[in-house]
Amino acid sequence: MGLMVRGILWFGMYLFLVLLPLITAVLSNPERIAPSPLVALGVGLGFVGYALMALEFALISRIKSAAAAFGEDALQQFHNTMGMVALGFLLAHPILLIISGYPAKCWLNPFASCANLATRTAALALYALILLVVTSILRKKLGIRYEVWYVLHGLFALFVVVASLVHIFILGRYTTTPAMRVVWLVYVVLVIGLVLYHRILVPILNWNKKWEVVENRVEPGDARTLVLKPVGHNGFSFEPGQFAWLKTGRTPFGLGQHPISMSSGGDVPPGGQVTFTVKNLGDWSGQEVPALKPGDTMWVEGPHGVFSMDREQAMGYVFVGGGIGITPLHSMCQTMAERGDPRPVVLFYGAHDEESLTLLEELQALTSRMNLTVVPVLSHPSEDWQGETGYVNVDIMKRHVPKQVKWFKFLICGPEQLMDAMEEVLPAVGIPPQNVLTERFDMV
Amino acid sequence: MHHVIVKRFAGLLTILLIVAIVVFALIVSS
Repeated sequence: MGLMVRGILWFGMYLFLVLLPLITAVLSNPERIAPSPLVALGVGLGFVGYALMALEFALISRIKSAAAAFGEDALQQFHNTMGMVALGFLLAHPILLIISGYPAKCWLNPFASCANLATRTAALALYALILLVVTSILRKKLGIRYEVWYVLHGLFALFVVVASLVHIFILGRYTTTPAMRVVWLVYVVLVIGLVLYHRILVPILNWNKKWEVVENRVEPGDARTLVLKPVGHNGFSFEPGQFAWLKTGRTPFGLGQHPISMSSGGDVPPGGQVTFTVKNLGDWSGQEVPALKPGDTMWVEGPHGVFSMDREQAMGYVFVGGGIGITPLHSMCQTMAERGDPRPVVLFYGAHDEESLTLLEELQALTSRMNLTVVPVLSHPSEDWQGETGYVNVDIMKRHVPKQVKWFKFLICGPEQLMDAMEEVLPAVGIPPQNVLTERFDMV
Repeated sequence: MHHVIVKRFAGLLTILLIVAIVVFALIVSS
């Protein structure tokens, strides 16, 4: 099945499940739902907001078929955006009902004397959802460790879904028909199924797929390269540019998982080693990764992602990497060199200074093995720097790309600012959007 | 997929959902 068809089917299923409570309510017993349009509007917002919340679990559960159609980083962004939409709907839900005459004190204050289980669960679910979204948006500013946030995020989300369901069932107004009861159960089954799949089944399947650290070497740019080998299994081959979720610890059930791109070539023979390059961003990458030593166990779930030149055939490529976004691009160059691929590649590498150019030596070594031009662009170079300065922009690009660049594909990977700038600028200078493929490194 | 495309797509979907909710409200309260 083509990716386009698969994408349409997945989105169709998503839309159907979002609208399912509305459709079922209309078909089953419309006269009992609401006495006025305003109340009906509030109820409708609650229905769709709840469905969106439940489906948030599906967007990040790494279902390979869906991820292949959209890209895991796109699904993650969609998850983030629709989470905020769900919050908006679920905030508007009580507001409209209160305007319609529902007593605010009973519905918003779980400790009020007039509050009951239905109102308390509604209020607590709403406050938990607000907390969930705020801690996600402001995690770094609030200084919350990723691992702590990851656990809290999952628990809060589960609480919101369960408390909302209790609210719906105790209220009883929208569970009077068997069809409506089935609809709410569909979401329960979906959420429980996805949590079990993601947190239990996938780790169990990975139980016999242990990996071992062979080497842990320091790289420029406060990064480390981990060379891993599969233990008792064949490991995997991957499309250059893809990533995997890494875990440290004795079992694959640890909660902290980290999306890290492979930096080695993708055509790995059975049992072959795979290399990951990890930038120190604090937390796990700054504390646990440097402490890893040869022989230590790691868990690798992958490969994932659609960011690969293998999926974007062209006469040549322009790669634009910033920061640790260079790792998937290095993997692509390495693979092309190993394959003897003669197509030209121009690689723009944005970094702060000479010291922060991770994998530059390896990339320069590849220029003798393939048709590769590496253009480092430094925003804060030393006085001795002879190369490009500032940020990767159209003028710098024009100086280095060949005339036939309109036949090339652009693959861009890096921090948010670089991605935003490139996604806006490239179409403006005549590079059609379909020639540009991006991957964001702000998934978590 | 582009970040911009995802944002636009989510925006369009949100509008579609609001329209669906309004239609729902009109049907069930009429």
